[in-house]
Amino acid sequence: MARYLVRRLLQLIPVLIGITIVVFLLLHLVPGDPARTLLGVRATPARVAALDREWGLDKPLPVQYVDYVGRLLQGNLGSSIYYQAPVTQLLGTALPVTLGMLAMGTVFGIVIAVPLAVLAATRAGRPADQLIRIIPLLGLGMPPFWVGFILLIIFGLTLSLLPVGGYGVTFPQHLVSLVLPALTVAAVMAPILIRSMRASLIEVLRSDFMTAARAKGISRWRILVRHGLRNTLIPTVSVLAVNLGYLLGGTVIVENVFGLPGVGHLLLSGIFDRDFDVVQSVTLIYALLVVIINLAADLAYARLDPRVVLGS
Amino acid sequence: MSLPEIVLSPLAVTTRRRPGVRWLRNKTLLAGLALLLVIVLAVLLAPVLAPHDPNQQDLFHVLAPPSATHPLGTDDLGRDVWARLLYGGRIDLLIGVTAVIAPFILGSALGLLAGYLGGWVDAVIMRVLEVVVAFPFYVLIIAVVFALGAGVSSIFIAITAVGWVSYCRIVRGEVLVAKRLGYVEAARAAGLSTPRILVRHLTPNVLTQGLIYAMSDIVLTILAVVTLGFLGLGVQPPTAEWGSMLQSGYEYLATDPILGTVPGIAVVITGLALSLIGDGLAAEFGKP
Repeated sequence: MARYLVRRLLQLIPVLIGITIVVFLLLHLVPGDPARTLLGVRATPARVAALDREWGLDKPLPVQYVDYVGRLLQGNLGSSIYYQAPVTQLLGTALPVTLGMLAMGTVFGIVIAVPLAVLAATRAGRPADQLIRIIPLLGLGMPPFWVGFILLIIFGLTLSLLPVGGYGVTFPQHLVSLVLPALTVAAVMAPILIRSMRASLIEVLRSDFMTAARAKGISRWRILVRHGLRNTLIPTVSVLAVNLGYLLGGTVIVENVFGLPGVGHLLLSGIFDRDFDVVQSVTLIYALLVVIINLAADLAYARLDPRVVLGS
Repeated sequence: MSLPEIVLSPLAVTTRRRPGVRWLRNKTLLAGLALLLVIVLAVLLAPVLAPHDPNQQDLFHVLAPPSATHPLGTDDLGRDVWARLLYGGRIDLLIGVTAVIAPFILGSALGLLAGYLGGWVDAVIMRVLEVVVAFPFYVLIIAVVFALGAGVSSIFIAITAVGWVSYCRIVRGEVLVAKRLGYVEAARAAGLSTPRILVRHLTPNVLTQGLIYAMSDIVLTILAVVTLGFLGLGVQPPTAEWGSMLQSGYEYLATDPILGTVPGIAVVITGLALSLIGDGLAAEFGKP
């Protein structure tokens, strides 16, 4: 396991370099001078030149990149012009919100998807299965933020069961505030999970070892949970990892709908305030999150299935 | 045994049993095509089905409820929601379909090169691909549109920059299998040049899966366009577009929920039609 981890971390180096190049070039994609864009058309050339010097934009591009990576290695993500604070500090408050929503959303997603996938797989081809199979088809075409709208109208505005936005002050308030956004994340995640779990469960249920388990007289429930579901975990973790980028990106918009002060909210406010350091750093953090969670998923395979030998 | 009987492409050896009849039995595909036909007809016949100008403001009749004159009511500027829904669909469908062409061509070309040439070409393309997939889909699209400025051309560039990776992966996988098959080896043995093998022999045989995936990709692209519109980074006002309609409807969820729900339903139905077509095609030709 340790050797595999070291090898995977070494393989990540070119990817991480690529990520920093993309994030670095983001600022240079801005048409014209970023300093001019920020200061506006009325800014004097001297003021623009001063900001260019401050950001190091007057240096050659490779030098700027080396400076940028040097700052990153020191843990310096720059500072926000709008909030007048270091970006690391802003991320320190925003990241727990996003991760909390994602974790709660994953739990909700699994709670919704597993029973439906089991129901569909055990009744493959029957009306219940046909009905459940429509869910992924509908779900994949739903804009994540629009699902948020619907949940907001039902649970927030009509039933008044949950807050329509904000994050609250105390921990219990934080948890309650995360329920609707997490349900929205779950509604995006569940169709993907149902589709993959149903397909792999049908395959597992048809396999020889399941027939053998049934022949031994093991109860239907025990066969399903201990043998069936366990064997669907690997493809499910795989599918979740592959779709992670899409799901994580969806949180940006969900946070915006529910006014949650997470990383996605930080990204969008950075965009509208032309807060370049914030946009660059948040984009970088999102990419790092995907890389870390993908690595964790790879390591999870070995825990979930003893047949998987890492590094072989 | 004559030569043409030995050197056959996989398409030639496939038993073709009147494909037209077989397609007619594919209910998923037919349902998707029928639904899409209704949607396309509705947006094309927008001037007939919705006589109101989608951008015509009527400040004396803002947020009017559904009536015979305005079947879905009016928005906060008194514009007919039904007309904006149909005209908005034109924009979203047009961008959704055309924006996948460039990623399809770029991704397929890179996938062909990576899979067939292998070596350093494959290594470089795959490392670039790994970097792009490390960024969450929406984050990279939003970041690119931010850098280039809101608007349709930025949407096309952003979607191309992000969307090519899926086609590249699919086509590369197909090429890795196909290049070991007899017809490619025969072409190589006959001394055909690499570009000729790639264009004339491999391309027609490896693109099917990419085309099937394109259906799901159109759904994803429409969702991205609608999302960018919602964030104010997509098609700019006053042009009717489902995302910007949802953005203005968001403010009136409590008082006028039609504005924030109906364009979303249109997106879901369009997505359903395309997903059904994608599933139907996958059942015909195998999963991508």
